[in-house]
Amino acid sequence: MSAHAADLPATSRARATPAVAEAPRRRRRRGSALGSMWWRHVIGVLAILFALFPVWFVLIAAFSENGTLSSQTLIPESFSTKQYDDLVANYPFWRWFFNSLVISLVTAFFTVLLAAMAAYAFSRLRFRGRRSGLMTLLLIQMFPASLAFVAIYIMVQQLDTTFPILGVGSVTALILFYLGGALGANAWLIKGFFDTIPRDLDESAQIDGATHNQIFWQIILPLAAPVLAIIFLLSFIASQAEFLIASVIMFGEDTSSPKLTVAVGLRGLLAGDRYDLRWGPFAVGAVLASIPVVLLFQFLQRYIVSGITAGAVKG
Amino acid sequence: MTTIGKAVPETDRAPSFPPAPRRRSGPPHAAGGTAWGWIVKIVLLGLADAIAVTGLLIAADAKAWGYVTLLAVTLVIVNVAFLPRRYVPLKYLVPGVFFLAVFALYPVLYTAYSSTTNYGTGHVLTKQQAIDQIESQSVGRVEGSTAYDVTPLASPDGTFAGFGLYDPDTEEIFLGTTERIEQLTEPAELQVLTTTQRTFVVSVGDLTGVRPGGVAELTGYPADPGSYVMLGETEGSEIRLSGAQAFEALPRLSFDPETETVTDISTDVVYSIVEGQFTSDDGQTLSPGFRTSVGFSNYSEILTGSAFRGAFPKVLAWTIAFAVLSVVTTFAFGLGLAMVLNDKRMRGRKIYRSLVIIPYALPGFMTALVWRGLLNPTFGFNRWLGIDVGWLESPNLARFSLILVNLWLGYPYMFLVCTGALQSIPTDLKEAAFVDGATGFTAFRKVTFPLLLTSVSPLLIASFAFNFNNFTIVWLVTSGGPRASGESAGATDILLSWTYRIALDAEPKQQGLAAALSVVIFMIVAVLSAIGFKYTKTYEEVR
Repeated sequence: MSAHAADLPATSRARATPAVAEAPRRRRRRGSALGSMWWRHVIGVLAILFALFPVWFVLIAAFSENGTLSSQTLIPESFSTKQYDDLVANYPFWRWFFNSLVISLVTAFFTVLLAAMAAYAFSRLRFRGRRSGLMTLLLIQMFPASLAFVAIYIMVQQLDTTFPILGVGSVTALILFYLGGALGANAWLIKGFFDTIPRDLDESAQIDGATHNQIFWQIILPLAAPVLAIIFLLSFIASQAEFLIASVIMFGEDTSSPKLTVAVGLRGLLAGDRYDLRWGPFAVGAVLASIPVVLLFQFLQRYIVSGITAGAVKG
Repeated sequence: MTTIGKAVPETDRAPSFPPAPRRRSGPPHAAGGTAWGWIVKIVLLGLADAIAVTGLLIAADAKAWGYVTLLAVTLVIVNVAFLPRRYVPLKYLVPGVFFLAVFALYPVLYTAYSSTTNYGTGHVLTKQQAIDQIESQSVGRVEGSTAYDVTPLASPDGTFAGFGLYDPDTEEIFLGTTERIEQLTEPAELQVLTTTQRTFVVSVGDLTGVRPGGVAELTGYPADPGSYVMLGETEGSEIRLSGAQAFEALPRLSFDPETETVTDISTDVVYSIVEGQFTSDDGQTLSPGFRTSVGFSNYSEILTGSAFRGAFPKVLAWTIAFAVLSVVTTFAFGLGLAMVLNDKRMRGRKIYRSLVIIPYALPGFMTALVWRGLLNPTFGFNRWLGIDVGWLESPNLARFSLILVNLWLGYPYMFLVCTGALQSIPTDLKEAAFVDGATGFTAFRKVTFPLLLTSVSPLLIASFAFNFNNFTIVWLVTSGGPRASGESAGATDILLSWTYRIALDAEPKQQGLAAALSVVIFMIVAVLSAIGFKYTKTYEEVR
């Protein structure tokens, strides 16, 4: 799947789209445009309502005076920060937020670094086992790390006694397991981009006496900045939203433990039978937790649109 | 792919970088960059070596030989790759491959290994740990043995010297430590405490007694006096503390390595090992059990065991149905919406587009939890619409709700994909169809749709694979429920969420069984991927 991405550098695609959209505007048909358009607007509005009402629902709850699910109304009746106060008074929410932010930033940074290094080797260097290495990566990427969660659980439980730094509730352990998936699809995507950078560039640099290190850091990486940024953002978003591995590593931690990630912590708020009582604090937390991803998505949007058609899948 | 200018022989070294002496006449930064790079390299390598060696020592200390081997191999590979000038490709591959091997491949192999064990609640410890625990838990007071009054004693230098044991019947004082017990015959000052009627040893010889309030400042005082074992007077006997008194105590259960059995000395009942648990002839078991190899019995349990025989095909069927329905509904909805909003004459198209993809911009775990609230039987939807529907209560409605939530989460992706694909279909093709007299629908069915399907089918397969293991949605929205009590799988459980419940959310937890189920999922995913590969012919594109 990722192989398709190799053919199409994301940027050139993104630029191509508006051009296509512009061209056929001339051949506007005669007749009442409004007459044949109204039903499109009806469907569009219905789709927007469908898309937005859960968001509306959670926003009202986040700023309501009364924090239970049963008191939730369709129209906001008041605006208060009571739910927020409730959340931070009872749960170390900002610690969770900070944990998730650190985990995502570190994971995204090293994912880009590790994948770019491997991609450089696969794209520019020739060595025995290169082709089979690429194939192996493609195969491994088919099996998500989450399938091995039982082993991860047992490993973390056992490490808890020997290496407490990597034991239960360890942020470091979580990052390391996320980095296990750093290669795979990412290395493929970046390799595809590297392949489009003309070789003449590194060859001339080499003639000027540049080492492979300098070519990688000073020529290839700067030129590949757009694709690296995309991988960084996608990896950031994926680790923000990851739930299974995080919950396995945090297993046994209290629901108000400061070690949790935002995803595991907020899920803890809705655990148990009477979760409707903690609905308000949850809603504030959910809104706040979404902010980093929503902001990044704005930067990503144009790349995601073209990246998706090129085969990248957001987790 | 860009063609390579010159023929390059396939060797381990990158021939394009001959280890010739570096020329100084390179770009201005070349010399400085290299020196700087060298320093970074040495610092990073030193750091990695330091971490690995520290880990190695800790692991060796804990006798975790698996980790010792792993770390030693890593240490060698990293240094071989980075210290010499040669092996250029290794320098770029080793870091990523290290993480892949240790944190992705090793867990997979470990899953396969765990699937042949009985790891789970009551079977966490190793055999030796379990025997130690069984023996130490069975220690009890020997009947008729002396009850000593206990006083912690301090040496002249203020450190803990052992416990003073006063026998009220013979009025003898003993000093008990983990190594020995000896009678103290030096002159002693004793005091009978009025509150407890116990005898407190104020001093004996050069040792002084310490009041209970003073033990915190006593260096070397055991953190858990209850597990402080003093040697008894007779061979093999122990003296243990119990509050302010100490008794001679003996383990009631003892392990015989020759016969691999545990014998109860007081009743002569023999417990032998049955599936990682010491079990007597009449079925009594000793806790804890230990982890041990059980061969393929986890697999046969999944396929034929009473609790799983019926459940496995049902869960598999729902997993496939869930993945297929998710792809079909999101694709249909996304494609329809893309076609509706793809008309150039429509005003405000961009606003519509940016609003309908909002579900995609929000983190999925959060919106899934919001939907859980919306579908709450008493509140949410029902309260708003004034209806009474148990969205998550009955099996079929819960399945419907789950598909609905996944539609909401997934259609923006398909909408974006289809919008892109529709715009890339050449307009002349459609116009040619119209010239040939095709109606709008026929043109769509015969021209647009087939073209669209060719370009998006790899993504549909990827989406199927993703939803096949879409644990997050299932777990956060329905938690696999509704589930009849006594059943192991719920109505909306997919294979992965079922596995999660067996491993971590059930009593008893059966990680060994869950690992076997994971291996089965691995195999199913492998088969599905193979089909997908064949279909998309990805193999041919590997260059």
